[in-house]
Amino acid sequence: MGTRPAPAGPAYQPPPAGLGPARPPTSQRPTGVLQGWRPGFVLLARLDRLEVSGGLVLPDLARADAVAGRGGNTSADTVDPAGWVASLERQGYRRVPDDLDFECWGARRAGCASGCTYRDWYETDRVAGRWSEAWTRPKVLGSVIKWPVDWDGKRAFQQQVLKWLLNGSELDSDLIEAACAPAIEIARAYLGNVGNHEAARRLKHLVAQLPLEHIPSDLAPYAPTKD
Amino acid sequence: MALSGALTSTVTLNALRRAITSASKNKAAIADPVMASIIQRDAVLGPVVGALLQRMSLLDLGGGKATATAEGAAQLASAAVTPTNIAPAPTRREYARDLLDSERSQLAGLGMGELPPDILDAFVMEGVDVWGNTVLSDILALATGASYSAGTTGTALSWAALQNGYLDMVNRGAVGEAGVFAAVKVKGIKDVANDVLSLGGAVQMANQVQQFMEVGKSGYVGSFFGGLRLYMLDDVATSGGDDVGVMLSERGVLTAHKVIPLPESATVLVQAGGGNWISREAKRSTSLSATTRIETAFWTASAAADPAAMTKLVYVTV
Repeated sequence: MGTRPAPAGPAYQPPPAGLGPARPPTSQRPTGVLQGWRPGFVLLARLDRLEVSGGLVLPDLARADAVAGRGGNTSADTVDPAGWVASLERQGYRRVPDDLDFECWGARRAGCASGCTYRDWYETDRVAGRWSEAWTRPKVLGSVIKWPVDWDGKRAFQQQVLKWLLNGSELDSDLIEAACAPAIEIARAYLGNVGNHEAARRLKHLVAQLPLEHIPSDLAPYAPTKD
Repeated sequence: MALSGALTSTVTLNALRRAITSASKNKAAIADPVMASIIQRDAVLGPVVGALLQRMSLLDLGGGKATATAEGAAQLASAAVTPTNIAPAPTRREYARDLLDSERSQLAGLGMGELPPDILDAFVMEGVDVWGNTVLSDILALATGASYSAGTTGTALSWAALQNGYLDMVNRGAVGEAGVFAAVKVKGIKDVANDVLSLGGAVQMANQVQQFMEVGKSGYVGSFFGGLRLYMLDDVATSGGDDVGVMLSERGVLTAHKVIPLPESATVLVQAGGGNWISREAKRSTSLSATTRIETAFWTASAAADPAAMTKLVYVTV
């Protein structure tokens, strides 16, 4: 049938300026190469949108993708999602700075190659490659590609974002309660059936996300032990 | 395009059928009442189905309460009127197929069932599916920027998260006539299905929960809580270890399209205009010999409209 370029799919986008590698011919592509495409993105946060994770109260991150026509982006917003960011900023979100340093996968992120501490660039089988959050990275297992997550790395980043949002002030206790409430509500749904193995497992996992000092007394028996 | 060599055999009798893909589930999702309502408000698609809206402004009206005042006292400050404007800017999307002359010739007449006899016609037909996939994918991606959230990062999706997310949307007054469209990946469906069994009692035995045991092939899982329709879709967004599904009522998203007719010089297969918002063009490739390029193009945009009408459903990817 001959060698022809791959079909231009809906996600086929020009590469980000200065970052997009030339796409090698099919015959020269290594096996196990990352497939697909994922656009560049920007993370935003606001102080009144928090979540719990690993015993910490952290900002719930909003993501704006650099896809033209999506989320308020114009046709020019293929590298920086300015339209979508502006839309989120009107709701009270703030664009997270590119230079927040944190530790992820056992290394400091300051000075990383992508120029943004929370983003990494991977070459793929498309003209435009794949952007990923720094706390996920591809692991090629033959034809299978997994994206393991460094959850501690993500939380370390979110802690830096929270510090930046607070700018020296203390986190309001009402905001902490609001962040804990959804996980507490879901955890309590399991209290009536703790004899079920799956219910008990989920209950303990949810309670483990809450800060120890904010675990209500009815859920305290399911809190992780300190050792 | 990757057509199997076996199909071009001139000796063996063959039939060309449409391949099964996970995207076939999108057809049910794009027809959901919430999606239909969103599309009805689209300025270009609206006239096709009977409605029209180019842009939308949100006016926070009717939510306040009057304050007690004494006669002769200083006037109270009036409530501010600051509508938020939403005007998505359509951008061009393209999808192309390269078809060798020999492929078109050898595959002629092999189309069966839902496929037309000429492979060129099949690619023309594909355009509407591509448009649906694109619009749906754009709308699902908006969830990553949603202000409201249900579920917990790093944990499996639960029945309670789904229920609480829906009740919060009802409480915000965000649920309209079309109810709520909800979509998660198959992992999220499995999470909830396992969860309802672990909850036992009234939940496990509820009629609506039995829908998890008879999921149809379309990807539509069922209707829950009296107004939430749940779908299993591949195009649900992901974000650093979590899947980001969506709960959406019709006020949550505004789409926009633009009709850009092809010029006279184009070999037109299907022309934009007259209610047709997709152009399909066939042209001889300038870089590849004996090859026809079939281009599907349309102009589209999607943007979040009323933040209260969208909730992201967060759960761990693996």
